[in-house]
Amino acid sequence: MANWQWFHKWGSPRWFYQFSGRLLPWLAIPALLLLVGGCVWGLAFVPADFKQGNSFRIIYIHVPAAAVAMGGYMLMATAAAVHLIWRMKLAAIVMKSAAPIGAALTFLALLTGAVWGKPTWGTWWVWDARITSVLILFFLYLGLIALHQAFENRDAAARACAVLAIVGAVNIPIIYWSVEWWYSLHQPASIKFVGESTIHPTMLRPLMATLSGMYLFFGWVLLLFVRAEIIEREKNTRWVQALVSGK
Amino acid sequence: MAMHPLRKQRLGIVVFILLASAAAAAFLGYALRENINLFYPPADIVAGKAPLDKKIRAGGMVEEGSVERATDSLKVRFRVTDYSASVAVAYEGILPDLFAEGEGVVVTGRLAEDGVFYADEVLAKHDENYMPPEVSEALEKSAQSRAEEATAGKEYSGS
Amino acid sequence: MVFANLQQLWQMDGHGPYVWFSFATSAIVLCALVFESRRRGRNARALAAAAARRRRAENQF
Repeated sequence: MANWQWFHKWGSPRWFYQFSGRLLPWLAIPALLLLVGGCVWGLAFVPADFKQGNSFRIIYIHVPAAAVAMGGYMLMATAAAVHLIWRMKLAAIVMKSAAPIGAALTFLALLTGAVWGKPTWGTWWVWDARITSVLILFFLYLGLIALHQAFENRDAAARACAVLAIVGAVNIPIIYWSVEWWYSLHQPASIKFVGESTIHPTMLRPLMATLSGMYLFFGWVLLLFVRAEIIEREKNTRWVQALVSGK
Repeated sequence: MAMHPLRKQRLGIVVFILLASAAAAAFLGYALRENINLFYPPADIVAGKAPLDKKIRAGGMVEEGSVERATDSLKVRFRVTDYSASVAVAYEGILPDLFAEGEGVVVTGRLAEDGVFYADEVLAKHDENYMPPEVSEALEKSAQSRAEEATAGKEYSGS
Repeated sequence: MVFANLQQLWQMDGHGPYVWFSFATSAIVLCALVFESRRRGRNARALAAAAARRRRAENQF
């Protein structure tokens, strides 16, 4: 049973609050450097695309927003499953905290996609499988936020949201493979896990910077939301009161 | 490392929720399989699988050498191909910047009985390749020289 | 820089409005996330401090 000890430690909000406080600068500083640096690099120091011209530069914000919106959902669904199985308080807090960040990033992916679609495809919006499934992701995030607020009881809210989050996880592989399974206007992925990426290395490097920057940014802001939620839930405990009284 | 039986049961519930929703999504996708496709490929249209005189979309590549522009208006005719069949498209209006022969396109409109697709919207569908213009020129050049070498080689072996 | 001057960087051969709008709104939304998370942290700390003051006041009697 000794092997489970780390698991219980991670489940302790107090321990997590102290641990995450030390982690914050290690996420925030590289996140901002990579995001700002990658954007400047992609906007001004990378040649234009041979077909799309300069509009392709939107890729440096569109792809990171979309990828982290999906990755964030998987993290949220995993936290939901951990909460349902082990009734871990911290997992419920992570699940609740990931929803607004995921919603904001999905909104950005949809908005920058529309703005990119107009000069390249000739339309802001089309109901193809990729765009529609990402819109469903957006509604899932909004639905989770609304569902959590609809409950008076925090534990009941967490359990209902966890079930919805797990059901919605089915949408993630659908988004990812939608461009392969069906005829769509959206092109397939350029960054490939297997085989060579179909984006030239000079253009790929700043994309890797903004993509990793966005993952770190998600981690940073997630910790900020989680820490706020921990203080709020534990406001009547001695350790939080000692913390805010500066003793 | 045995799991608590209650937790094992809850894990079973989580797995069941996942499987059930995946099955529901699969059935939904199967039921809607034609409707989820944004467009018909030319092969399906030529085979008569697309409805006549109903608003539909067709997609494929603009056939090389098929674009005919009117000199006095914005009327344009071209053929859309998936390299197994092709459909004639008639359109009047402004084309997207990325519209070109050999490029992807999705057209919205009606298929008439004469087999011509009368489009009222033309969208450009680009592929997942991104590269600087110089790289694309260099690639074209090397492809050209390779083709020339191949024909030269053929001539050599032929003589 | 691949652009000859700042004017060209701003215009981007006509794609400037699309590109700059995308990056500007993204910056606003990402900053809003940071501010919102910090606002919630401040509110939670204020609630906890109020609870601590109440407890101290109760203990005095």
